[in-house]
Amino acid sequence: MQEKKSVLKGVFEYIPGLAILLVIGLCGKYLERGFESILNESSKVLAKDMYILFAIIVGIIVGNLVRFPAVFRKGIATYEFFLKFGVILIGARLAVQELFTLGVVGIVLVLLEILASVFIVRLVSRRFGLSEKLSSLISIGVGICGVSAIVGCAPAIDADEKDSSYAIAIILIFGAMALVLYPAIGKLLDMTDRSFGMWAGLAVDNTAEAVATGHIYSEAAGKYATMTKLMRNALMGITILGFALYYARKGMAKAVTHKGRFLWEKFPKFVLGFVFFSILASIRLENGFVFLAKEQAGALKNLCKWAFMLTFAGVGLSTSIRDMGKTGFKPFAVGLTTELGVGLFTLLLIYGLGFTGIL
Amino acid sequence: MPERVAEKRKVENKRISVDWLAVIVAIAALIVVKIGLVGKIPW
Repeated sequence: MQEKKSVLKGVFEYIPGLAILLVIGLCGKYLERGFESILNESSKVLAKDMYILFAIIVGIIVGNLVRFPAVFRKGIATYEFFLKFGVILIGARLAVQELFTLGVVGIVLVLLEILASVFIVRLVSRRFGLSEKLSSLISIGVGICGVSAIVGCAPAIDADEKDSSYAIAIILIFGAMALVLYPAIGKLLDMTDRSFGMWAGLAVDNTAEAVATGHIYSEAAGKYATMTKLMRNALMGITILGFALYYARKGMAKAVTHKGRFLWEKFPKFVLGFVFFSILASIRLENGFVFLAKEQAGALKNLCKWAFMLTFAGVGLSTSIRDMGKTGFKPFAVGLTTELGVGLFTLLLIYGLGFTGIL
Repeated sequence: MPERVAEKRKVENKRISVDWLAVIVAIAALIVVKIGLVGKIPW
């Protein structure tokens, strides 16, 4: 009885924050509807799924104006769960054949992007005199997976709290900028959904912002952005292991004893869910059987939209402008130069592939 | 120092369990949609 009560209490702890996410998310959804006619006229610059951007904007405004009591925190933090849940559901919209065809190109692009990020951050960090560990955290944040990669890497290389928060702030500042700048650039350059999606997946740091940037451009672009971003996420373990071994060799961090276990621990498991859904959704038999009928696929698509609505309300609420301002000039300058460098480099890669007919 | 390591390990473990929870809930949602317990989900 006592146990049952504590489980119930645990569930109830999430309700206030979830209610806030729902209210802000719905504001985003209805703002999208309200602005629909205006948005259609200006669709050259901004396009689809604007509820995502509106939910983030409303979230940022509310989150920075209102100081929520502790009772709301647990529920608001669930946005991370909704992001992963929504991303897995996107898998149901991507044929596994496409996943593997684009996957080969994507993996090469991701590897090049990671190398470019590490190289640019190292180069610029030396100029600005940043510590080696802070520069490693920024390169893993820009190169791989934003906040998760920084959180995963910090203990492995024994980085201090201050460096981690600087690196996280940089990722969040440029992630927020990407939401508006990237779709606008994509429209100006008249990029295809696939090219833009892969560019956003390669260049935007945080998973939430990369998925949002793709969806703001178009639904198809959102799908490609998610797929490319997940490839970066999947390489998180290998890259963190590389940094951990480098610092251990220099005597600046503990040695990694079980490399296999380390890789598995750092691997984002929800990527497996994404691939699993893609495989299921691709089942089509010669007798006309499809695993997911049109209505079922439609239901999952709408469920994904609800999940993203809550996700991006939470992303907005958790974006603290005050914390971003504490970054400091040097880390900000390194972040800005790296983001510009990586953004341009990946854009050229995508264009290069476009000219060769691969994309 | 050991508390700091323990705290970071706790954050890491939480991330892993959120990953698995998302997979489990997504599969549950798929089953619900597949067997027709929920027809249309409005947006």
